[in-house]
Amino acid sequence: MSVGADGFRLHNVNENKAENKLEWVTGPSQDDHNRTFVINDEDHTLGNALKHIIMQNPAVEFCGYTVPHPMERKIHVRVQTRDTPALQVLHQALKDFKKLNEEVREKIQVEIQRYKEAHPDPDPETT
Amino acid sequence: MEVKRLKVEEFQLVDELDAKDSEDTETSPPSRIEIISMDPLEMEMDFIGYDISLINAYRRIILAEVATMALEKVYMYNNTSIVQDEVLAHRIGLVPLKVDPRFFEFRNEDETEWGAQDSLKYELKVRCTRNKEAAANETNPDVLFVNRKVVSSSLKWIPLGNQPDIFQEANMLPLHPDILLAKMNSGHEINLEAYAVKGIGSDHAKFQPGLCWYRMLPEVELTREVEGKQAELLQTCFSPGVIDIVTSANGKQIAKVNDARNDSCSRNVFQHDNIKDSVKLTRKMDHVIFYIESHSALKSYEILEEAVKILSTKCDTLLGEIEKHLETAMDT
Repeated sequence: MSVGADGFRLHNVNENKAENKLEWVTGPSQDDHNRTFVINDEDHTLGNALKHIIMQNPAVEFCGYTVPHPMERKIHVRVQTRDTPALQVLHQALKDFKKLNEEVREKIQVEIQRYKEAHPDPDPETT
Repeated sequence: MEVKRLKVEEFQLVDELDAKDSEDTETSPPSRIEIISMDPLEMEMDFIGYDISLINAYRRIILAEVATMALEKVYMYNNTSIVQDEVLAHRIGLVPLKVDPRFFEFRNEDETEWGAQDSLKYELKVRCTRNKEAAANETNPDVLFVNRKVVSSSLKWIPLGNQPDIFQEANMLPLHPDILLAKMNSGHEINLEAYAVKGIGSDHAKFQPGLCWYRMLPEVELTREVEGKQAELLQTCFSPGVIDIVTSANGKQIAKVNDARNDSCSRNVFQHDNIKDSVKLTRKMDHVIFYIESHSALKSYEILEEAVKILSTKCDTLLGEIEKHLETAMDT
């Protein structure tokens, strides 16, 4: 947690704005098809779900994620593919994830509406 | 190191399982969401056909990232009660407010002023005195003193800037009027100012909008007929309503699974050697029962809607970042 001008803790979700959200590890065992992405300011919430989505892609040979250190808010996502570049796979996975999430969002709204119509509230003040 | 080798038959088994899996995904019905019960305070719903990782993301977002307003900074002008300043400030911080956080912004890093768009001001001024009207033989301190108990309803909202035009006082008060903050004796006094800001649960649990948990649908399967005394015993091993006793075609009293949903998944049945072979306890992996309890200004279903929105925002942020990379790669 960073500290504001009056010694106040910050409540911003994106605390490290200067830092890049997405980076990748350089060094051996890294090329276009085998990449370790670093996603800053994310944790298991996104990591595990994103890993699951990436695994659905048949072009992917291996995918896994890790939180390198519990006190640093970042995750490493490793993607290994046969033909498609790893960045493209990640891009597609995020689009799929967003689509899935938007589907859930619509279904929830429809279902809430349905439930409210089936169970009208006797006291409209409370809803 | 010894390497365990699979036999040919085992390989075939794996193949068969794989084939079965792919068949399942092709023919499986589309995923759906069902609300079982819902009111502003709590809800129970079913996610059918979704992966646990998605459900867990929603749960984690609800607990750590859905924002609410809470009192964060306390300026203590006078506190002669026996509750220490820091303890009192902490207790005040935990008071849930009725304020809808969606009307507010997160407070900025270098902000020194309390702005109308990101903060709320409250005042607490109480003095405890002896109650002159109390009977001479009165022993109950609640009667003997005026303002013996300092409760959350003593927090008075002081509007900042243009807030009086936008908000009504009734919507800005603590959610519960009767939360005990301190007890005082005659002559004690508390005088403080407190400021509320928007925050998230990963910073402090006081910002959590509510509770949230999930479980997979339990399944109970009877592998053989259980009758008579054994059926009764079987029934007592499960939560009420899980096992029914019915009369079979040939007049026997046999156990039947009624509704495994209510099962608490205790393994009591395995204590009894005579019936432990008659049941198979499993969980339906793609059927998740999801619960939300609200203890904030947001209603149970609003909490869920907010969580789903936050997850979409996360995807958008990353997608924007990748598209930036893809563009620069094309330029060079």
